[in-house]
Amino acid sequence: MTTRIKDISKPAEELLLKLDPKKFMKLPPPLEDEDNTVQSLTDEQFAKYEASLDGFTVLQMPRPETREEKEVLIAKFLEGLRKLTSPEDNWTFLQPLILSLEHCAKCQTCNEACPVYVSSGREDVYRPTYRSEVLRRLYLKYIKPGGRILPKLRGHEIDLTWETIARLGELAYRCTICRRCAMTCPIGVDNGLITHEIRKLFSQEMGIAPTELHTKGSMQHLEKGSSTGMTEVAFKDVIEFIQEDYEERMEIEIPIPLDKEGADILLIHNAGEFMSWPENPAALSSEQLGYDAVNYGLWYDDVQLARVALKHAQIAKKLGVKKIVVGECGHAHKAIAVIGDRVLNEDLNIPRESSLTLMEDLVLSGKLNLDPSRNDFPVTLHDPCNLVRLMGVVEPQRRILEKIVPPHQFREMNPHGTENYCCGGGSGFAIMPSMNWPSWKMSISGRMKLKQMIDAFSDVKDPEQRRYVCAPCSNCKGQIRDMLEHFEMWDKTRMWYGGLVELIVNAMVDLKNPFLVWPDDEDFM
Amino acid sequence: MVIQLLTFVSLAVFVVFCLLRVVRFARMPIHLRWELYPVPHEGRESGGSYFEEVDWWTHKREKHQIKAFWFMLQEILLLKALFHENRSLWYASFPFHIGLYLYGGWVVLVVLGAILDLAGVSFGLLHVLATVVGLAGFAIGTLGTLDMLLKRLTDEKLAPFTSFKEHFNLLLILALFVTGLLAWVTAGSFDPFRAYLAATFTLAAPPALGAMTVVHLVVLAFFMAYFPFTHMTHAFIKWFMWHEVRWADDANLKGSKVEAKVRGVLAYPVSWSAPHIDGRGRSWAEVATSTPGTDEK
Repeated sequence: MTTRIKDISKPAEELLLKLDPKKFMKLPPPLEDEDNTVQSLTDEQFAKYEASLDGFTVLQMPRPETREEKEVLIAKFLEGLRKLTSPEDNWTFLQPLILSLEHCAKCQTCNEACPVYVSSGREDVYRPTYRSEVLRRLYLKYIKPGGRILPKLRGHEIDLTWETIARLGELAYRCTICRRCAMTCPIGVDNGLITHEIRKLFSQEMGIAPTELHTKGSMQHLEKGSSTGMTEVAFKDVIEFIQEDYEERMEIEIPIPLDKEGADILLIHNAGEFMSWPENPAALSSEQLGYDAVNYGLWYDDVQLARVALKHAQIAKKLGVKKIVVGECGHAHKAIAVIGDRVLNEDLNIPRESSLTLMEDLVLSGKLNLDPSRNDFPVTLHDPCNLVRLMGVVEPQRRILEKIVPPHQFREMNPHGTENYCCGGGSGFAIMPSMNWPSWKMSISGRMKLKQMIDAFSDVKDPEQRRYVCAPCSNCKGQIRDMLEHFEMWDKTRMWYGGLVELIVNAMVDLKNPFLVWPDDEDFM
Repeated sequence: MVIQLLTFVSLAVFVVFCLLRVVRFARMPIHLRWELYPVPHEGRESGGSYFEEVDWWTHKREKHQIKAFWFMLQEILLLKALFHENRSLWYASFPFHIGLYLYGGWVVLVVLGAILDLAGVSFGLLHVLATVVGLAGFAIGTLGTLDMLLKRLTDEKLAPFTSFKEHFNLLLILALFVTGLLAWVTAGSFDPFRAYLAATFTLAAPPALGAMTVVHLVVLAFFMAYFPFTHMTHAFIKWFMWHEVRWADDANLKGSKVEAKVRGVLAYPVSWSAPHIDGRGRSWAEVATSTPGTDEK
């Protein structure tokens, strides 16, 4: 049954969408008979939080009880919507937003490009156009002058109830902002941007954002120095540990320079790497924020985005480095290199570039003694949206792989490059573990990527053959790790994952032992 | 005279409000970068950008404007994105748009014919061309619009998300095509339109017009006055969508225009109300360089 736009205002007692696992996109073998059941909220959680969109909640908003509370919610929302369309408050995205709000032809062409919509079994609520149309109607009816005159006749009729607002806020977190939909729009409308702007309205005006992104994310980042909670002292300890580990495993002394004034490069890295994948990082700053390149503001709040980007630039300026290089983290790339480009002005405008180009330069220069036969196993490449579609770094990683993996072992996913599918953990999903949300990520947002990964290795017949998904992005790795574990892909297919730099190091002839560690290796952690 | 007045007023509304719309978007402040690759002027087959180069800021950038132009041309004339992404709709949308382009061409040819008539120049081939272009436009446009309407009414992906406004727009355009066709059928040529325009240009009394010609002129006048207030302005606003958003990859280099514009917007006041924003009437630059909860109030 079709879910229409007006249904978003239904009373909260009724779920707008009840997911039907039988409708989910089919997965290839060995997951063709996988139980698709999604986890429900407990009765207690349902009673406590507003989850009438689809039975999931990332915002964890309590339901307003009194008439006053409901009116305040509506008034705040309208005030935020007004600010979203004001040049002073939203110079950051006003032009793209109004362009997208006022010119959609409602041709629905973008729907099939959306992995969430397709994976869910094409549920109307998850159409990229659904949330956009809700915001569009609210804007045309309540913000544009004369909007309340004949709204039905003019095609923007909508009821503004607290349920409309609560569901719209939640719906902004059913999209990974991969912007694959925007690529297909014949007019240039960007539903990913509209999602981003809804999130901003909720955060910047109403103070509502997922705890993992805001309180434990950008706020903790600004206050303690890292979204992981890692302090400067803890960071130095981790670096010491990593150095010792390198020496032990590789039998080579590799100093990691910290706080080196006047260095050519300041490498900033996702601090999650130090915690989860310590084999990845290199040269750094130990100053607060300098050791964590993440910038969660990118996903939900322009002010927080600007604050973190400016801190990174200030650290680089203080050290007097020539450039900032961003480690394997897609959103950190986009935040500081692309979006931050118009925040970091004048003396804070320190050149920024991707570590992938630097690594390509290193690999292709011949300075490293590399032997591709050390990576003699099937490899596929995941294209992180932020790096590839949203920044245009497409070829360096492929040219590196040509040098470090035997040609017959590398295979592209289909589609790939700028047409890639999101890992399913984009826009913050990878770091949100609350309540039943992981179940949604595994079943819906990551489903297309899982299918792609399995399909990429469909020619590998030996079930015991190790296979490697190369994902040069911390968040993507987190999501892929969770999916491989959830679907027991190592046990079923010997599929594992990692970054690009690990493959480079693994190909180094000067190392006595392989650098990569597989789950069936003795020293696997 | 009434119909001439209607033509003048609707043309004025069309021109003025289309211009105002362009000015409105052109005057919006510089925004944060939000490009989407591939960007054709980068000229890279794989869809890559200058970010693929080590020390990219030290290299001279070459923009492949011909590739960008070629992309736009294919998009506008052939609706390439729709062809690849939504073929069933393209079968309707392509003739619909070609009909509109031909209609525009017909108007230009008839206007040109009227001007030549006033100048006393006889150019028969132009009238033949106007007839061919006009008839082709009306016929192809009618078929395309009917198919669009049918899809909007019956397609399960489209119908539930189509409002009265979309139906109305299509019916209006259908009326434009059908009445144009009927005007030709009843008059046997498009000469009355040319004679009407020649009279209108010189502010002379209009010639006697057939009913369908009058109806078509009324429909056209309404369409012109209505168009600037609809999403149909994507016809020219699309330029902003591509050049100012999707392909706007100009870096903020020191001493550049971008840098000056950014300096201006960073001085804007912030009035967002969430506690962590802590605007207090301060500028974007001041708020962004503050840490919430730690600054002196």
